Amino acid sequence: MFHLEYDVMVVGGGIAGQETALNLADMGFKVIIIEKEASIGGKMILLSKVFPTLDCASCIATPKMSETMRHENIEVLSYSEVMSIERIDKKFKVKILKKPKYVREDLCTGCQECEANCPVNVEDQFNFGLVGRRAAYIPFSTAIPKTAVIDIENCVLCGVCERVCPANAIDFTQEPETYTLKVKAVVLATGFNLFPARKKPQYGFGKFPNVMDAMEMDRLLSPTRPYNAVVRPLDGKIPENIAYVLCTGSRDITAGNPICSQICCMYSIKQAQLLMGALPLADITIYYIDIRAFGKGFEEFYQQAKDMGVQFVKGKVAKIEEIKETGNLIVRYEDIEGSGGVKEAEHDLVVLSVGMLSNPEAAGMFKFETLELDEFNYVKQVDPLLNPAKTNLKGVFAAGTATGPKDIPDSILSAGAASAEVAAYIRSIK
Amino acid sequence: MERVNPDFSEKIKKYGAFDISACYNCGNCTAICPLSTEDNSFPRKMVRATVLGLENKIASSLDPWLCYYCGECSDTCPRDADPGGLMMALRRYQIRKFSVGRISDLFYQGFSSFWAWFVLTLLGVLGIFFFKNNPDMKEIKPLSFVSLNVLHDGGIILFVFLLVVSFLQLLLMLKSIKLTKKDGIGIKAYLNSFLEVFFNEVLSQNKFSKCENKKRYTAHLLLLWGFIGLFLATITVMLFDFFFPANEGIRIIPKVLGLISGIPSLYGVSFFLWYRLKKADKYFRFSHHTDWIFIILIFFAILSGYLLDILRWSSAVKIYYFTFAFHLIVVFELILTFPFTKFAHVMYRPFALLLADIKK
Repeated sequence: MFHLEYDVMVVGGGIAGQETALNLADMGFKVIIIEKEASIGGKMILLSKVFPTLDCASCIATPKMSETMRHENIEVLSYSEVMSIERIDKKFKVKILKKPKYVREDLCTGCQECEANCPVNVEDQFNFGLVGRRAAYIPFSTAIPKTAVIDIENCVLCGVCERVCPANAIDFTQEPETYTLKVKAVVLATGFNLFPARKKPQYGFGKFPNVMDAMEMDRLLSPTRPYNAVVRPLDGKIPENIAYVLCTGSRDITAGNPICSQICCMYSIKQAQLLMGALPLADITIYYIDIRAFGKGFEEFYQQAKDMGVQFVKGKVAKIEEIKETGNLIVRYEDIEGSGGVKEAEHDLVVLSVGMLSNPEAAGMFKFETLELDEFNYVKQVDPLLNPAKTNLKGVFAAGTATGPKDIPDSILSAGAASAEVAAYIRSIK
Repeated sequence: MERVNPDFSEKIKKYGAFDISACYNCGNCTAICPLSTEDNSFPRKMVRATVLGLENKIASSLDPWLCYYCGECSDTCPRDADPGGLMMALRRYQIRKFSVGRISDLFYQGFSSFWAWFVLTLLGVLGIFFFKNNPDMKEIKPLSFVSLNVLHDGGIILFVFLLVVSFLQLLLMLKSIKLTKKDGIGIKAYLNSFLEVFFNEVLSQNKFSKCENKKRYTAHLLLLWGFIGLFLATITVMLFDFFFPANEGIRIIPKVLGLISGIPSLYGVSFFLWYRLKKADKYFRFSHHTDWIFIILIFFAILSGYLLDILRWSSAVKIYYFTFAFHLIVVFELILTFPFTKFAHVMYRPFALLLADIKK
């Protein structure tokens, strides 16, 4: 199926991982991507549009994913995890666990017959629970590899998929497999975790149905959106008055994340503009502490949102309460720039602009060595100015949000830096 | 024009507000505060004034007294700047600021505070030696230890002193708050507000009950009622003394009232003592020495009071007189320092609430 020796192993198949792999593969290096989900794509493929250009996210990400998959120098191992990385001389011995999909990837054509016939309904993790999926499913419509997976934990083992599969690809006898690879360099592109909005109980996420997080809203706005409309969760009503609560779980010591996530201001402004297009009659209010529009074209994008009629209110929302009868929400804030004093405003939908948290998983992969993390549990950049991809371990590099909060352009930039540094490193050890 | 004191945020650290400069003005504290209203919003304004060093603005603000330190602001402050702790610190600051002749300075600075209490205690001890009679060692007779006249005259002198000082200090507060004409000051306005504040706020502690954490509210309410009971008991004793000096039977009324009132007081003060010792909540993370002294004095005053009632039925004559002396000293210290220590919140808070109500 694949070789056991590669030049580079990229951990994580998000946009940064793909970019690193493609750059290196184009230079002639053999690359393997280890992706823990059943499809590559990471977080970006789930987004609606990107800021500040309002380009369609999947229109950029899908071609890149397919290029990654089809590249002759890249091998993609999806539904797999790195068990351990051990340094041997100048190389690394890597143990990989490939979880069984119970579907033979070489036979599956992605026809979705199994999905159509599966009787099980569970929450769809790629739509953040907004809709359901089957136990036999294709992760999302633009998934790559486009092969089915059977979620064995929820499967009732009825065997219907096995009977209906025209390619005879269903194979319940699959077992977890482990592989041992030899690689010269490792790139950690392990990305980030979203701040779980439940950790801010004052906002009632998970308690009040009409409080959603921004990732859910991005799903509602994306081309592959679940309901084909922007509706609020409680009753399917088209919202007329939407609030955004910025800095939910960013710049907040008592919520456990003191740093700025760098993306929430801009993605909220992006969503506000998209909502103005989707729901021309809706009022949109963004509650902020500071608007941090620091990148190229960001400030103009912010002004554009203001000109479109988005209301910006300075003041952190402290508390959200629900009106039982209507399901509408009361947000309580101090109107700092306006007339002052505590204010309460009613909205029929509240979107929490959740921040980024680090994903420190990579630290657990190394055997006999310790990967240094920074104080916020991101991979530590030991030389952030001159070698931004360098970690404390020789031959181990990091790209994208593994080293700290970044937007998409910055992630891709850091992936470019990582690929150049990796190439130089591999040439130097020859 | 406002004068700026650039060292104010440094100065306020001594009163227990340590991290206030971390504030980035998001307004979370004001918005989460269950007591903050649209017309009267705090604590962010106070935080801002502190960081900027607007000392006069702070000295002339009622906001510190409208805060009951529920602590929700401090629990959720994104910068962990402890705005509730600042409000507490500003109350300490104002108590010092409004005190006549700056007597409070003696009790609020660590070193001089030690000497002030030491000298007071010494005075108490000397006073006992000076005024005490030759007590009856066969049978416990409290009035044979200190005569009724001494207690009576001393009480009245103390009472007049407190009345004058408290009145002056409330005047100082009133002056610094600067009520304007349009705030409609008239006897009627004062009376209306007084009734409103007295029943809806002082007796019921309505505002305090809006805090999410009800434990402190309950303890404080019980302590307050207990104190009112003890106060009434004392007053009735005096009145009965005056009107029915011969009637011994009627004395049972203040006695019972005092005994009953001691229970909630003791519960309340023990709660605060225990929570501060344990640092059980965030709000008890830091205790100023004035907090400790206030609680400990009340605790010992009530405890020794009960002990006296118990010992009364025993034959431990010596222990009884010692306890009695101890009780007298503690009560003397507590009452004498009323306008200058944490105890003064008993007058400042209702007065501030009254002024806030008039301003509204």
